[in-house]
Formats: sequence, structure tokens, C-alpha cells
Amino acid sequence: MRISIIGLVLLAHLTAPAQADEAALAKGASTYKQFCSHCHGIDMKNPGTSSYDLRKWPQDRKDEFYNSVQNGKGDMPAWGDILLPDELDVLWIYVVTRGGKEPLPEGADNG
Amino acid sequence: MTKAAISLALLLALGATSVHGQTAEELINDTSTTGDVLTYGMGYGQQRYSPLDQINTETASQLTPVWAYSLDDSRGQESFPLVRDGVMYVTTHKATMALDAMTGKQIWKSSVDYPAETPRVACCGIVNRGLAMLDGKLFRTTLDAHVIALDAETGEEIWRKKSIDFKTGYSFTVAPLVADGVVIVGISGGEYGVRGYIEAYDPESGEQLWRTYTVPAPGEPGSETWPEGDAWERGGGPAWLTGTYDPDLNTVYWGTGNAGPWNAGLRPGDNLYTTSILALDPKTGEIKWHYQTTPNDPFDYDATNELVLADLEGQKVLMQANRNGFFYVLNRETGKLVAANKFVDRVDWAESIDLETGKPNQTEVAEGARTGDQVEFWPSAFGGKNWSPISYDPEQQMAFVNTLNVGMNYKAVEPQYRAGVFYFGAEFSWSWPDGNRGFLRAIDPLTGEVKWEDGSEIPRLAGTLATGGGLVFTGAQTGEFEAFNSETGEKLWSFNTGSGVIGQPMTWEMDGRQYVSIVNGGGAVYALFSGDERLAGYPAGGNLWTFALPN
Repeated sequence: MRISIIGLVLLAHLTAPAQADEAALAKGASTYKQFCSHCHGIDMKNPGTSSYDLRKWPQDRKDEFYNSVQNGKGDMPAWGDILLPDELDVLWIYVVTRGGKEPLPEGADNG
Repeated sequence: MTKAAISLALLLALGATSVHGQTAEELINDTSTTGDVLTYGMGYGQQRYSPLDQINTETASQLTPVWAYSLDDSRGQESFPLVRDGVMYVTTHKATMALDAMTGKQIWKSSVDYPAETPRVACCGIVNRGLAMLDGKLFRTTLDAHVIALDAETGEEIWRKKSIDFKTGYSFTVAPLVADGVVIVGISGGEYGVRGYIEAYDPESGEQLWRTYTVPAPGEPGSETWPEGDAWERGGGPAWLTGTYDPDLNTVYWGTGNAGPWNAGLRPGDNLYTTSILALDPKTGEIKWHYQTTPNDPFDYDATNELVLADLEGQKVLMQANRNGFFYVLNRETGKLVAANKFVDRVDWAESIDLETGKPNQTEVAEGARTGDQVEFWPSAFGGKNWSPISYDPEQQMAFVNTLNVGMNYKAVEPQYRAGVFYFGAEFSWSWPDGNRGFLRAIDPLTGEVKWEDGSEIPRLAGTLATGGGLVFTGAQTGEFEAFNSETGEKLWSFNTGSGVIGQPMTWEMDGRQYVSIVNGGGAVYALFSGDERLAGYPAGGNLWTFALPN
């Protein structure tokens, strides 16, 4: 049993997409802090009661993420007019990797 | 004569002038007229003390809800309700409401519209703290930096004035103060590179009467405490909590917030009038005296916290449980420091406050915070106490304070300015204690001595209310509205309101029955910034609640 789990983990690593680029991730983290942290929490830690818990954002819904950030969603204000396109890209990398804790999911790379 | 009869007699006596709404005289006497609550903080001195004693240490356990009214909003709720002539008035960030105080039935609701992008510039919750009233008008602020006057009878807008463009980081959450016939407000935005100010409007016309910047321009008094260059333009000093007013001295007392950006090395000097207590002339906005609590502040130690007025040892004083961990008592005629004692367990930035000079004796930690070292300091930017207002029992001469027990890991870095987003100039994270992150404390204002405390793992962020019934009311972020014995700290009663309580309790009476009211609705600064996932089980959603003893 233990061996097969190790095997699965190894397999996952062999087939996983690349880790997020460190510079992009760092820029994503600082962009997140400046633009997003006052509602979504420092390091995305958030009880999820007053605002959305971004750690739960579906990793296959990139377009929806971009749309929500640029145009707003529900109580969330739109950021499209002041957030630069490259900032949105690194923000996505930060969010989709759960702050660098997970590798970039397949098809998520904006590199 | 019963209390109701006294109230009626008072009402009749004042009748000639009060038909069209409360007068300036009634506002001055708010504390002694228990049938109404006309001013933020239950009186111009904001003692949040009522002599009412029907609900007391013997009867508190029987408290029961009388009604609840949905605020129709999922943001954090911090509004202070007012009551006059059987009508209760309350705000959210998006509406103003009038209710029948006996039944909770809505009389009118007036919505507040602001541009959808406004919440970008609200650092610490989309909140509104309430109303001021005068001569049949209600006054409030809006998140997008407007001041509004409403007809108290109908909710119709009488005037609406834009204070400043919110897009550059300015907002309002403050409940206005009506003092000496003018409407006074203070701006928010200390984390957005604003230049703070306090300003006044004419209640009739909405004309702006004065604006006093809390950061002087070059050449103005205090500008010598700023470096050459343009640091003053983004120097901070917001003024986001309601000031107090002494009608006898005709002086308004207003606290100012942190200097900006947090990186203090970029602005050598004391940085007046940030983190200061200001004594102002209400008619002109002129600064009569000032007292600065945290010179060259790198910690986000706002001095915005309420400045409670009292008489202590034959002196007219004001008192403040400051974010920086010291409980200050000042002579409010002169601005001279009377006492300053630590009211939380750990204060790293200063050993003491020199009673002669009024200056803090600062530590190496404070120096390191300014020079870019990685430091840990307690209390954190949340403060030894955050915004949640204290109460003061003048009989016991005791203050009741929701204190915080949180530290901060901190390093000053080069800030990046962009209009309308955070402008910190610091990397930071929280340092949590094992166990209690906050304590409700009974504190002697002159010594800082803690008479009793009630700790909680998730800290309380609600205001407190003290009464002649020997009680202290407050609330928990886990939803309980609570009553404590103010002498002993024994918890006598609590009721689960269904969402976090971070509001401001108040009490009033009608027809011989005492009521206690508070808004619930979790959220705002701690919920948004702490990452405390234990709050996940306490949903958002505000109500205005009213409690009384069973009939």
C-alpha cells in the first residue's frame, strides 16, 4: 500500500506541469497584497464569511477568474481599469498555485 | 414620579423648541435624558454609560429579545443606533433606516448609492458607523467620500456634498459629530497614501465651513516635523472615528491615525499631526492644542480611538486606550499628560511615557522598525485596542475595554505608490499567542491596573456599554451578545444572535421599560485580515436587535 502511494506521487511528479516561475509568483504575491488582501485576507487566509475564499477557486476556470477581476463579481469591485495585464497574469499564477504551494495545473500556465 | 413621567415632563418642557427635531441643548443633555439617544457614544463625552438600572445584576439573566430587524447586508456591521421620540435610526454602508423603536417595524429606508469600484479604497471593512442629528435632520457619510443630510421624518435627501475624489484612496466610515451648530467629519484612507483631514459643513446648506489637514503643507505650523520634499502629500493622518465635544470649553477632541507609508525611515521627524489627539475650535477648525502619542510612527498605531471625557481628581480630562498599548489620560483644557500606563500585557515599542515631556521612552525594537530590521512587536497594527469603543462608568471610575493580544512580524521596505491601492511600505505577518487573542478588561484609567478580565480565543471587536445596573454589555465575533457584572467580571447573560457581534451596544427607555439595542453582523477588520478560519462557522448577515426584560 505504502509503495503504491509513493509510486503514485512519483508518477504525479513526472507528469505534472512545471512549477510556477518564481519571479512571476513573487510579483503575484506582491500584487495580491496591494490589490486583493484587504478583502481576501493576507496570504489568501480567510474564513470565507465576508468575502470569497480564493484558495477554493476552481483551477480550471481561468477565464472566469480574469473576468471577475476585470469586471467585478457580486460585491467585488472591478479592477480592469487600474490593474495592468501582466499584473493580472501573475495574480492568476499566485491564485491558481495556491500561493506557490501547488504546481501549475495543466493549461494554467500563462508564462 | 416615574421615569416615564419625568421623560414626558421633560419632553413637554422642551416641547416648544423640539417639535421640529432635537435642539443643540438636547444634544448637550443627551446623557441625562434616558428616553432618547441623540449622539454617537451616548453623550458628547462618549462615556457610553447610562444610569438606567432596571436591567441589573439581579435581572440581567432574564433578558429576552423584543425584536430584530434585518439590515439586508452581509458586510460587517458597526453602526451606532440613535433613538428619538420612539423612532430608532441606523445605518449600513448602503442604506439609512428609521424604525418604530418599540416594534422594529420599518418606517422608512433610504438607500445610499456609490460607484461599484468604491470598496477598493476601504482598507478594513465596508462599514458605516452611524448618524448625527440636529433640528429634524440626520447626517451621515458615504464610502465614496460624500456627506449627506436626510429629513428624519421621511428619509428624503436634503443635501449631498462631495468631500473629495474617492479614487485616490479617500473614504468615509465615520459617524459625523454635530458640535456648536456645525457637522464635523473625518476622512479615512491611512493605508492609501492620503493626506488626512477633519472638516465641517453647515447643517442647513451643506456648505463646507472649514477643513483642517492633519498633515501641514510646507511652511505651515508642524511642517518642520516632516522632511523636505513631498512626503507630506501622502503623509496619512486619517481621522476615521467620531470626536467628542465639551460644550463648556467649546472644544472638539478628535484623534488622528497612522503616518503613511508605514515605512517611517522615509519621513524622518515626528510627522505632526499624525497619531495625535487634537483639540479643535468647532467653528473654525483651528487646532487649540495637540498631543502626539507615537511620533514618527512605523507601527500603524493610530490615535483615532475615541477620546472619552470625564472628571478625574478635580480635573477635566479625556482618556484614550490607544492602539500603541498605552492608556492615556490628558487634561483636556491644556493638553497636558496626566497618566499613561500600559493596558495590555506586552508593549515592545516603548518602556514608558515621560509624564513631564509627554514623550515615549522608545526601545530598540522601535528603532529597528524604522531602519528596516526584521522585528517582532506587540501589540500589532490591530493595536492593543482597535476601533471598538470603550465605556466608562463614572461611579466606579472604571473603563471597560475590549483589548487585543496579538503581535506582528515586520520589516520596512520600499513602498510602491499607485493611486487608490495599498501603500504600506512594509512586509508583515501576525504573531499569535497561545490561547486568548483578546480580553474584555475593567481598567483603572489613572493606573492602567486591570480589575478583572474575561479572555477569548477569538477576540472581541465590539464596543462596550456600562450601566447604572452594574452591567457591562458587549459582544463576541462568535455571535453572542453578552452582559457582565461590571464590579466582578462575572458573565451574567449571553444570547446567540446568529452572526458575529462587532457593533456598538446602547440603551434607552420608553414607558418605564429599559431596552438594550445593538447591530450584529460579522466581518470587518479582524475577519478580513486575521485569516482566523475558526470564524468560518459564523456566517455574515446583519440585524438590529433589541432586548428587554419580560413584561
